Amino acid sequence: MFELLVFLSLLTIGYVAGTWVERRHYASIEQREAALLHQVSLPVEYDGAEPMELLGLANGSVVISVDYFKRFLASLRQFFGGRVASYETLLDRARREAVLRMKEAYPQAELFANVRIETAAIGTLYRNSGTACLEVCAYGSALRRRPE
Amino acid sequence: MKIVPRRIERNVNVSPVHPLRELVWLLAGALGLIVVAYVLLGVLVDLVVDRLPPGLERKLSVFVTQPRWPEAPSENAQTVQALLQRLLQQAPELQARYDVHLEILDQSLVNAMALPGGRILVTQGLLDTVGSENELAMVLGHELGHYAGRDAHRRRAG
Repeated sequence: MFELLVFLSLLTIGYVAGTWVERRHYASIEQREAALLHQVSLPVEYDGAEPMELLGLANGSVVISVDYFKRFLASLRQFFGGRVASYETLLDRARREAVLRMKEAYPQAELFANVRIETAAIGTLYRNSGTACLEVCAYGSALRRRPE
Repeated sequence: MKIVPRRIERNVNVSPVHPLRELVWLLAGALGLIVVAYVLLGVLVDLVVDRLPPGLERKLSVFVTQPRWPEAPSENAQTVQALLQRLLQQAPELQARYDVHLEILDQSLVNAMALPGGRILVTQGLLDTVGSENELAMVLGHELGHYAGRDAHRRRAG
């Protein structure tokens, strides 16, 4: 009975806190994405239409973890199969945050070429609980127009 | 290369499912599975228990914890034993299936039970309380009824 109570309160705390954090994070992401729209990120090489100057390797990375509620939902999902929707927002936020941090690392850059996004799982074997903790890393070449 | 950056209008990477709605569906599914398994197990046990061969039934009894309580130094053990034998003679099928034997427990509590494997336990308290041989025969008959119905195996699995 006591364990059930602990479980239910953890689930509630996870849900309430997780939802609040997520909403705030999305608001921040959308606002920053709009502000940094002038910095273009390209998944390919820049074609050299204009002479560019290489500023350096821009790198942005985030480490994120799931809340208790999301993890419980995902574990139920693993039983039945299907989309793990509770992790989708998590990874979406992490990818966009990583790209934003990459851009913020070079505020003077106008273009990021050859941008790659990589994901790594961290601490997946912690007490066999499969604590979902992820690092998402975005990197690319920071470029700007060569001043004539 | 002419690039026009655009904001994300519709996020295709996130499924439009409310997490609480998903939780309710998944929990209902899990609960449904448990209920189905429970009912199925009960039905299967009822099908199997009546067809258990005596040898297998005896083997299954080994897996049940057989408690030991101090026995009473009873002077009327012989009488009760004889009564039990007389009852068993009326049920040759039971006699063939089980090696029924009697233990009289040194307890003032009024109780009797049939353990899997053929141990019938009767408390001294019960023997002190019964007023006639018929009353005791009723109780012993009830305990033998548990063997006839294979109740221990039914209950253990359900």
